[in-house]
Amino acid sequence: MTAVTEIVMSLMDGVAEETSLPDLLCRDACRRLGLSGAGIALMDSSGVMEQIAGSDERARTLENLQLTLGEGPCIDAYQSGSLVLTPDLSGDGGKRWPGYGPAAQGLGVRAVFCYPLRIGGIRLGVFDIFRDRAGTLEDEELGLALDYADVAILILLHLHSLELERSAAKPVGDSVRAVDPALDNAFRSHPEVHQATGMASVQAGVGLREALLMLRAHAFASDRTLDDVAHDVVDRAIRFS
Amino acid sequence: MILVVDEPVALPVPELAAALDEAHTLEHASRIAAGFALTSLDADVAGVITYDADGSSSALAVTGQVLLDLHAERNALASGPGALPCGSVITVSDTRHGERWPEWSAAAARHGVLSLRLLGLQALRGQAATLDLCSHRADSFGSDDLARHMAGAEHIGLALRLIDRIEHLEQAMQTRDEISRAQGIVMERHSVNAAEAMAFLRRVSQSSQVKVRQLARDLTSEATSGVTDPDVPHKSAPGSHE
Repeated sequence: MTAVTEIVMSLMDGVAEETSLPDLLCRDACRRLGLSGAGIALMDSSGVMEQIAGSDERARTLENLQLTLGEGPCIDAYQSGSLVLTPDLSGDGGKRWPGYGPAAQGLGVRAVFCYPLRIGGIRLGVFDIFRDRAGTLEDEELGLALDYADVAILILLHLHSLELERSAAKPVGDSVRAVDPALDNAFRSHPEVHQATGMASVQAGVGLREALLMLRAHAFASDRTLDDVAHDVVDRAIRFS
Repeated sequence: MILVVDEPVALPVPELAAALDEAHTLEHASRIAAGFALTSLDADVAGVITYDADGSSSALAVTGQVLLDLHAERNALASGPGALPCGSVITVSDTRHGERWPEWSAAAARHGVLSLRLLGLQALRGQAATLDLCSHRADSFGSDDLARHMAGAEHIGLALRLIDRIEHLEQAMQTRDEISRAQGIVMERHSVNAAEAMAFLRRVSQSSQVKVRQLARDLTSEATSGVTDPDVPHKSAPGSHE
């Protein structure tokens, strides 16, 4: 049996439970790789992440931290298209991210490994795994984690195709975001960060990139998440002008 | 990882997988695949071709102009080899004696292509697709290399389909996020909520015959440049034309 077959077989046994395939994959990776946590996120070039799965609350918090700070191993892995291996956050590894490094350690995380989810040069997001103890991944573990990343890509493509077929069979609804119902149904999406970016850019008369930086700076200064701040901007509780 | 499969037929599949690892678009991947067909499947000219519902062909990639010319002839004549199911093969051994598509065959021979092999790939961008191999000599594609060509097409077809899928998902995500940002711009300019902003974009789209996705692109690229005064040219209320 190939490693990928083993992973898929293992996921098939879990499917009966009320858990999404990406969540199952994260849990399975934790079990077989002896991890403290794992997560899958879709990303875009501005570093806005959309969480698809997390093995637990802390995995989600770690990704959220990077969304808010705009820095961290996931963002580096996505932008470079390469593996980002940080076996010890308390060493030089952590210094690479002045905001993320200490915050992740504050959550008890010591080692983080991020795999870009990509086929060729086209990137979708990241598969990130972490441990509470420092230490590198053995070659075999690195390879197995890569297999999990490959399966994660196939699952994301599969979920999208499923919803494309479903939405092709239904008439187009008129919801707030019926632009791409397949995408919305496949991946719970949060449009507010993007909406708030558009709003802030008009309010402050700046470009979208700068507007996102303003949102992040506001979140950082007020010790809140980017999601929360974006929500307040959309609710018109915060203005940038 | 996904592309490497043990293959009894001698083909440099790992090289193909490594080359495709650089691909940034389906077109780019198709160029790489066509190049692979040239060096590893013994063609003088190769290409990846798709077919719309009417059967008209267009090229994702070709290694030589002559293949574009052949398909232009085919589309003009509405005759000639074309869309094939995945795994099927058509071989034209000598275009100077083409019986099935006489006019097209004569044209192919005039263009200097004397034999061809078309291999059906998996669908790309929702359309039937073929890998076309052309030779300047007659009888270049025999039964002895058929298995190798089919195995090559199988690898190329799977790899391109995977890139097709991921490109589709990536573009869908980009478009969706762009529309959300445009929604935010409209929400602020016109003091409306998210649903009203979306309805506004749809109305403008319908009355101006411009897709919502294009409207969003225009709005956000304007905002990215950061030079326009957000208030001056956009005083119109929701519902009026922009």
